[in-house]
Amino acid sequence: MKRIFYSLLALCLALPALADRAHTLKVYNWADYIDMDNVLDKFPEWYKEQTGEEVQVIYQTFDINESMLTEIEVGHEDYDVICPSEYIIERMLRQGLLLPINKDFGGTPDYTRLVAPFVQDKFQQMSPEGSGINVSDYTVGYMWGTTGWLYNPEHVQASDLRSWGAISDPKFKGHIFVKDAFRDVYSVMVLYAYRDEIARGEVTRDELVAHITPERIERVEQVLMKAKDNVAGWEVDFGKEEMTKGKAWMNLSWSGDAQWAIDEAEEIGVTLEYIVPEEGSNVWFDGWCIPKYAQNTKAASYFINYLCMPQNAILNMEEIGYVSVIASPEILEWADDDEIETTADLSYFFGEEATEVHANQVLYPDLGVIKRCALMHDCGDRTTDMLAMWNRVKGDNLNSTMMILVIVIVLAIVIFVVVRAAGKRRQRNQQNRKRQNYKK
Amino acid sequence: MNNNAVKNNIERRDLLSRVAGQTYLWLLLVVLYAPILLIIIFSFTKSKVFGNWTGFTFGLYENLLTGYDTASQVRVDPNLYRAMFYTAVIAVIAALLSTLLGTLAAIGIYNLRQRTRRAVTFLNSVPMINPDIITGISLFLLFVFLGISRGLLTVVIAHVVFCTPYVVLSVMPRLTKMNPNIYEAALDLGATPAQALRKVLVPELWPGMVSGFILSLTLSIDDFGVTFFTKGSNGLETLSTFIYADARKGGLTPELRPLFSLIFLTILVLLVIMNIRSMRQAKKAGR
Repeated sequence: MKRIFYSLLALCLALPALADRAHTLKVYNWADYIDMDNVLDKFPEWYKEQTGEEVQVIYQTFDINESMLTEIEVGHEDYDVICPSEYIIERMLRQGLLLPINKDFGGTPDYTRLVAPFVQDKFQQMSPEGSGINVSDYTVGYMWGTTGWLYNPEHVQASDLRSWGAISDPKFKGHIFVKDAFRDVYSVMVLYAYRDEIARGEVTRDELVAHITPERIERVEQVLMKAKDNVAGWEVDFGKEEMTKGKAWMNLSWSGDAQWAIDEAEEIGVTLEYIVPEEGSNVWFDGWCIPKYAQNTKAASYFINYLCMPQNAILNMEEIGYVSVIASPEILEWADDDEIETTADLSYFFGEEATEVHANQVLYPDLGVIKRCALMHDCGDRTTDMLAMWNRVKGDNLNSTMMILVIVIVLAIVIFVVVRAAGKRRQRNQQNRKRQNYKK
Repeated sequence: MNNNAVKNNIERRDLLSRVAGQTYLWLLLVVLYAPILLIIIFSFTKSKVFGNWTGFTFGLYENLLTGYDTASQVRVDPNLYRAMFYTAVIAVIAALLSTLLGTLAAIGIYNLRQRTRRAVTFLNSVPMINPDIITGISLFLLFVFLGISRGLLTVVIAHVVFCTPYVVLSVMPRLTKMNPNIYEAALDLGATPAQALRKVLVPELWPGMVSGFILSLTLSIDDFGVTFFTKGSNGLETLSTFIYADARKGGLTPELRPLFSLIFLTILVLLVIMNIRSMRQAKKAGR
């Protein structure tokens, strides 16, 4: 019995059989966000070819940026390469939590150059003020997209969705789902709330999305409060399923999620489409970076380079349904699909020749759409105000009548318990006195 | 005349209360088991979106057991199997350790004076009342403070922390019911304290220890909050943390549906066997 116990203990403490830390690469990514068989698993082989060194990859997944950030910031976890969203990259840069990527790859070509200049420009906006940091030294993009309406054309016309105001349209009451992501919803609704000012040229979209003021939060709250009864639910992941089952007609969601839903729905014969309203939208990015406590920065840099290879970008895109930041001739060829009738102006991404590409416009929006999109930023000090506004909109707070009711009920229970205990004690004392009387 | 009316009334009330009781019972059972039944039903269809029925097939079971989806030439996420393995390993180790610790603790508490005993019993109940998240975060901060890198060891420690009080609670009733003179009698008859512990006390406490062990197993497999914060960056995942990250995008991996069904079936079979055995033992004792 003891022997079994000790051998089991020893067996388990020895697992997993880790190669030493210098030959391990710890990757921390979103779930379902890489092609595991064809890209991730082939990395050690490629790394050996390029550098002659062995590496073992430990791949872990996180659910939201904040838990990943906490583990690194507070827990000092030694992940080698992580894939946060753009606002977290911005925050980490400001707090000095990222290491620069070593692009000295020896004989290996530097595929990180293939990131579209459009993306690199947007990234540069994330540089902390006055620091002069070149963001591209610290992060290389992975996937990007926009936010828009995923809709079911059987119930909703594209013309109804030309504005974000469709969220309050009573025609769709009870059939609208909105992503429970306050940052994204804020940035599109602020463009809607200030659409007149934008049209008059008083303020730019970039300004509205990047600089959050109490006044803007107030205006967005008004818009959302009006829409609150119209919206069926604030969801994180089941919106796509509701759409494919036809219960929801519209879902405010990200382009990558929308593409997944469109593909899934096609398999069961439901058609879904995606549109970005005219007021504009945001562009969001994920990017690979090396956190401060990483211990294998060489393999980390090579890993990031490896993911930028066009064939790997294509494999990843096909597996997860999102669109990569890499813009190379191979990708342009992959994106150009003759079966698609409409063309898009993708010169902002692929260069001057790509003005008429038969591309899937959910993944590769036309230049006209991109011009109306702004990059989201970290809310910084305004995060508490935003969260408070978001909670009020979702109706998570107790209003005063509920509070009073709850307090009254709790008091009633307490009083009841106390009175009963007092009653029991009185009974017991009476019985004791009776017994004493009998003894006499 | 009056008697008949009264009897009818009583009968009608009996019938009513029986029907109401049965309805309530069935309603409760449906609410409890409907989700599980749904998962079992949909484990026999290969759609990615839960709720879509795309034809009856054992495909998902095949995928789960072979780790490979022949239709789409894609591996089932290997992290799922590692998560299953670690869930089982952590549960068994944590349950063993906390049963050991809890039994010793219960014996110790039993031998304290009344006042200290009440204080320690109160302390014992604190980890039980504490929300998971609080335990998880405080252990996380403690490990960071002490510089212990988080991984399998910290998860096992954390699980022992919240399982031990339940073992103590399972073993204490057996101690209080036990005849306190057995131990002294054993010593009088020439046993060393260690022998007395092994051959007299443990058999007496054995049912309490077993139920404490099973309870710890359940709690450990079920746990999310504590494991989430103490698992570290070495690729350690349990089933609950794996599912948590998996649910984020694209819905739950379809292969989880047969996994849940199999786990449910296993537990159901185990419970039925245990119940049959205890019924048989009761019958034997009754004769």
